[in-house]
Amino acid sequence: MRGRELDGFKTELESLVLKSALEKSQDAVVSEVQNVLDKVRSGKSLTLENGAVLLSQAASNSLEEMAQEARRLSLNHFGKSVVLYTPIYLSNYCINGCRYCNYGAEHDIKRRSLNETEIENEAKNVAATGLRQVLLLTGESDKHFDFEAICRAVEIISPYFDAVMIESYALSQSEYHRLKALGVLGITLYQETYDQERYEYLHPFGPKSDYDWRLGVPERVGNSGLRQLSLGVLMGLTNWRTDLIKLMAHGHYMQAHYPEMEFSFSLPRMIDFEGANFEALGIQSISDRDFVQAICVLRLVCPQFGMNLSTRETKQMRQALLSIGINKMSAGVSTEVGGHLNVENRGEEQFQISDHSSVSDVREMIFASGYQPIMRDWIKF
Amino acid sequence: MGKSNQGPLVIGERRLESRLFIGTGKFSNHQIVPQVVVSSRSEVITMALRRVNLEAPEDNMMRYIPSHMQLLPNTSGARNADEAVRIARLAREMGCGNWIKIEVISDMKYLMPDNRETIKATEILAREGFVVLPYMSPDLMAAKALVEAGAATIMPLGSPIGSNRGILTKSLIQMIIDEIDIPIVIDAGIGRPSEAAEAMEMGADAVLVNTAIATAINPVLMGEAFRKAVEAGRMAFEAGLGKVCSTSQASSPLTGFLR
Repeated sequence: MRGRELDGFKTELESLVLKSALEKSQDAVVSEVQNVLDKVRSGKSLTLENGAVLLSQAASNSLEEMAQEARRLSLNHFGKSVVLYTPIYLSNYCINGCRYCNYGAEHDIKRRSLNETEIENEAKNVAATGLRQVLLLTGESDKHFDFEAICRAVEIISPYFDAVMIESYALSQSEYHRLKALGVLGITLYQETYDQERYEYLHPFGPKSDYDWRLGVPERVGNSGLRQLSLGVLMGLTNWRTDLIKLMAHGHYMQAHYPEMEFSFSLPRMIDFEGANFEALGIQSISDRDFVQAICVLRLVCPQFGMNLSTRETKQMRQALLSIGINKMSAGVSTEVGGHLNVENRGEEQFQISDHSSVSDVREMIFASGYQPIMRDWIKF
Repeated sequence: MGKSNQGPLVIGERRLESRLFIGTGKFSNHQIVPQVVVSSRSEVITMALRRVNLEAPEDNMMRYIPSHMQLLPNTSGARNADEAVRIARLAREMGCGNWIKIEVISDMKYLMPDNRETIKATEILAREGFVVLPYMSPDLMAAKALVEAGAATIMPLGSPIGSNRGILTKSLIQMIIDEIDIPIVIDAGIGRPSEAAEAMEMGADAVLVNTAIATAINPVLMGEAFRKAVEAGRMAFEAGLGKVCSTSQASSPLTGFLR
């Protein structure tokens, strides 16, 4: 199955199975919801269409039942462990026009990239908090922070950590392959939305406006031999139920074609910022209830996938979702470039975070919830 | 029925009184581990090397493992034989001893061990002096190949890892118990003490239980429950219940008169 053409999932996205699942998320009835929940209890795997039933409005009345089953599956697969990591923002330059983002090229914000000395100091300061896993965010400009700069940053940072993950602009297969050779463990990449029309409207210019190039990233990552991949959508950019079905389809597709990889999901919710007009952009605000339903459904349909929750969510929400199925969390987060350096001129933050807890605060919160924070989940061998 | 598994359990020259192996993963806190060791009376404990954090005292699970325990580091994260071998060597360098549980998983959906790669890794590591305990999909031919490769035990799975679904592979494991001369440790899938007892009644030499203990509301009490179940199951086996055969044993109702 390897070495297939790179538009493999694109074809699947347009398939009939997906269409019937999309319809199911609109018109499922209560008895169907119960049937799917019975199927979960009997230990059978769920299809995409089953997942669509659980995403429906009809299923929202069974949220507690879904949460109970999600909890059971999470405990079976991940136990009471929560892996901690923190993001390191290397640059906030951007040459794209994402209409919903504070970092977009047309926003007049303080921009900067870390130089090599700063990268090393940032790494040392993060490592001093006890964290062993980091996610490097490169910004979305290969003009200001090009691929060579990413590679250099990986070389500088790697000795300080067990696991380095990258969230960057979409790269080519050979570039992902090179990151693997440098010891990178995995890639995080959000499709933002699978709705191509909405995607093109919300990303009007810059390299990121190329929907297909971004959609092909997971397969390019898979072909490169990298171990881990985190997938996600920005909830609220379009009808969230539709986007979630496509996200699960993508997860199933990747799992079927790259069975040796470890996958996880992350579901950031849209957060309004000054100067953005979400209403005019057609961006929906996602209620807590809908958000929890989404998390439960991802767990029930893809029980082996890790589930990551960012500090966009409040401390209360992060704590509550631990017992439903979150097994990966960021801690001690700064979304500023140079946020862990003792300097004045940091680059402006990408978004406002809700949970400002330090690493030790997050650890305490996790212990207090009856879970165990895991600092090391990988070993270089 | 080529084996006699009535005696004490000996693995890698170590005689074990307890036939319950436990794990370190999935607990809410490392501090529970020593209490579970006491309540379960287990003597063998497995840990994923990828999670062993010797540098951070508060996170270092090794600190919580009583010194009389036999460490059984595992190669969680290995996707092929080569990776398993490298992790095993690192475990030994890190001071985790020379026992190694080989875990090679190349399919993250079902998390089923890859027997072919496991056999390869077993052969290399046994040659290097490791006491090798390979986790495997219950298949008699693969079990024979593992013996040939130098395995110290065979660890067939009862059902997919973390599934708590009991011994779904019962008849396949029974063949291995009946035919293989080295100790058989049933690993993965045992969700409740009654299933551990069942494994022991079948004639397994030991069971490894992690998820069911670690994720119980009271892991210490569950450790004790598993100890008693394992002891009861073993006792039943030794008492004579254990003669389970995969071939039929005619009671000769029709031809008995010929004797």
